[in-house]
Amino acid sequence: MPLMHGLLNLIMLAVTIWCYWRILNKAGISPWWAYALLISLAIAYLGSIYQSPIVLIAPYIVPAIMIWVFAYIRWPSFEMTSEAEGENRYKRFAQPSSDVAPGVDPHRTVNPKFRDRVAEVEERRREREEQ
Amino acid sequence: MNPLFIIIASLMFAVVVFYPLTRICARAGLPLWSALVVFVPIIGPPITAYLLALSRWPKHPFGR
Repeated sequence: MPLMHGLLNLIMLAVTIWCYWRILNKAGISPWWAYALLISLAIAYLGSIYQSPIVLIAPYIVPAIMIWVFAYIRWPSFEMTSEAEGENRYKRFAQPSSDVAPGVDPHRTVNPKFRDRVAEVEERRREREEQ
Repeated sequence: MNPLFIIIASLMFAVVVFYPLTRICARAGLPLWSALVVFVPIIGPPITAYLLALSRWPKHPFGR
């Protein structure tokens, strides 16, 4: 019976770690912090060795600390940048900006719409010169 | 172990984390009742975690 109880607790811990992993991921924080919940296991183990009543609250200490910290720290996924606008307004997913002109940077591709516009302007300029 | 102790420990946990949970729900755009679920003894805290992990956060920039 105690073995079954311990096994159920471990399954519960694994599912909770998975939940915390998803929550941290959504907020843009490293999801590896979810594994801090394993500290609860160590506290429960030590509490059972010394037959301390702390065993009762051991599964709740680390999650409580993590929830308090998570509520007050910044969430990188929710942060906006002043430079970017539209769909790229969030820092984490914003496109890297470049001061180099498109023609100078060989790795930059020009939007086809703009390419047509440039060709049009060039053609008009040539016509004007011919006249 | 007396089950009453486990229930009391669970309720103590709910009292401690209720305020930050309301803050998390507000930041994520979730309703307040998802934080109130934590007061259900023993199964409340994991259910709150599932709600936060599996629901779509309305205030999330990409609706995740």
